Amino acid sequence: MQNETGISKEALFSVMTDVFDSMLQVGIQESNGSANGDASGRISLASVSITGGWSGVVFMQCPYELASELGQEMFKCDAATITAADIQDAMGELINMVGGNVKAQMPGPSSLSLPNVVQGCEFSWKVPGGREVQRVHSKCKDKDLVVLVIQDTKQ
Amino acid sequence: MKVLVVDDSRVMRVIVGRTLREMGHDVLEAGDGQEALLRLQENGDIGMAMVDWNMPVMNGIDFLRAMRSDSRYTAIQVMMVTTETEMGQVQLALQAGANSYVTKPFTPDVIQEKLRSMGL
Repeated sequence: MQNETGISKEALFSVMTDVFDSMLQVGIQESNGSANGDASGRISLASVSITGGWSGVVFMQCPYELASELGQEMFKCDAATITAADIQDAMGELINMVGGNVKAQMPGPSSLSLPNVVQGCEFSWKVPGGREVQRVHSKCKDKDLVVLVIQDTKQ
Repeated sequence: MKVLVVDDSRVMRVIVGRTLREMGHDVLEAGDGQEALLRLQENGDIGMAMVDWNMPVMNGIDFLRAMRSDSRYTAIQVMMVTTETEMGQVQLALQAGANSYVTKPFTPDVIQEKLRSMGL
């Protein structure tokens, strides 16, 4: 069902599967879970902003362990050799692709920011004036992966 | 052929570079448009550039315009590889001198097919 954001839950999930299938050859499944951290509680949170005909922020959140595994897939390396910078880079590129394809389904023209990636434990975030308008919970490699869309209500 | 991959994301440079090397091409890398202009000056035998749009320092479209305004680089083929999918953006890139356009995400097959369609 399409909502006022211009992107339905189904369309957002389709964007996610397209990115993960194409770039990682990794499947994802819709779930009802939440994006908890890994065993140590660490989370990786990536975001990209859209400004223009539609303005807001697209977030992708997962346990750090999953972010590391995704980075290893993209760099074709193993857990012993991947660095924190590599993991941030991989998460940044994934949210860049998800956000770019979300942008394509919103009213334009608009521009996409460079990605931001935060990794750590027990942090919180806030988008001033933002309202969550879409969210997809999924499982990737049996771990939680969440993408959410925040609309800038000041528009 | 020597191909310049211009992307601020190291993982994308690795992925695109891997695909190009599998096709037998030599790969050079740059993390933004300004660095890419330096690579062009240092290497006179670059035959193609694969360019991201959104990058810090100098973005892909500004790099493309700078490159096309220099007569030394008119023969270099340019493929934009970007998340920018709006038709207006595609037209802007083509008007600025891009020869081809690929949107992210992509599979290696898509890159290879595009290159072959360009005769590379």
